[in-house]
Amino acid sequence: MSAPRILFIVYLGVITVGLIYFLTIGLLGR
Amino acid sequence: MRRTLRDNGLGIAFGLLFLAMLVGQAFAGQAQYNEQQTATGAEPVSIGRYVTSSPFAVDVVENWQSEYLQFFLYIFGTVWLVQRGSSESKEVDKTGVESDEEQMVGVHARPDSPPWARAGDWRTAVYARSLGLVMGAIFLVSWLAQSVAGQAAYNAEQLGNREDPISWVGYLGAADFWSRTLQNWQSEMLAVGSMAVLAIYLRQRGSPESKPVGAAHGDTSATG
Repeated sequence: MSAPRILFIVYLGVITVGLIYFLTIGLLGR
Repeated sequence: MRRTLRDNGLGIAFGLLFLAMLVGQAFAGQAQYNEQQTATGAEPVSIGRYVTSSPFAVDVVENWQSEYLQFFLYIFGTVWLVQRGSSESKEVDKTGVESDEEQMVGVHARPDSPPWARAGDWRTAVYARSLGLVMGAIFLVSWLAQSVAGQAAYNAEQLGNREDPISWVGYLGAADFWSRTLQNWQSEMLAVGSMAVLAIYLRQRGSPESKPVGAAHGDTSATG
């Protein structure tokens, strides 16, 4: 897999995981 | 390896800077949080507890949402709005979504065009808006996360002050939510507007964000 494609997947992955993580923290009311 | 790093320097460098600064924010945020805790006679928290807390979450995502709102508005806004003389704008007579020929879609696709650009049906319609749609979606989810984490952080503070917690809908109308939101939005709009306007008369040699140094002030859309 090409480096640009890996970067694309890593960026979207980090953003997606980050949003789920922060949303979950909020929903759990921590 | 060297070539891969050079060819992908922008994505790699900003990704690493993001991670380093997020770690920095976590430690600075924990220190600030613990100052408040100590001042009110409460127990200080560990870094592990802090990075899984709503005060940290809301501080991170309130900045995320405004950045993605900025890019979303810029991506969609620059389809229709132009700025004469700016490298950030396209030519002033090219407002709108442009012809299929200019955009290389459907029958005008080149041999190496993405398959969804060639398809000519709903896939082309979606793909033709995919950058703005994804940026807009990240903005909306970040803003939602800000509201949810913001409510949790706000209510923790309310309980600490022996005041009533508020509902999520109540928080959407709260001064805390709109103060966090608008303090980020205003700076993004100023930065975008000033970038478009300052780039008319100022130059940065070698940057694609600038016109070539010798380009006329009246030249629009040139980069170099």
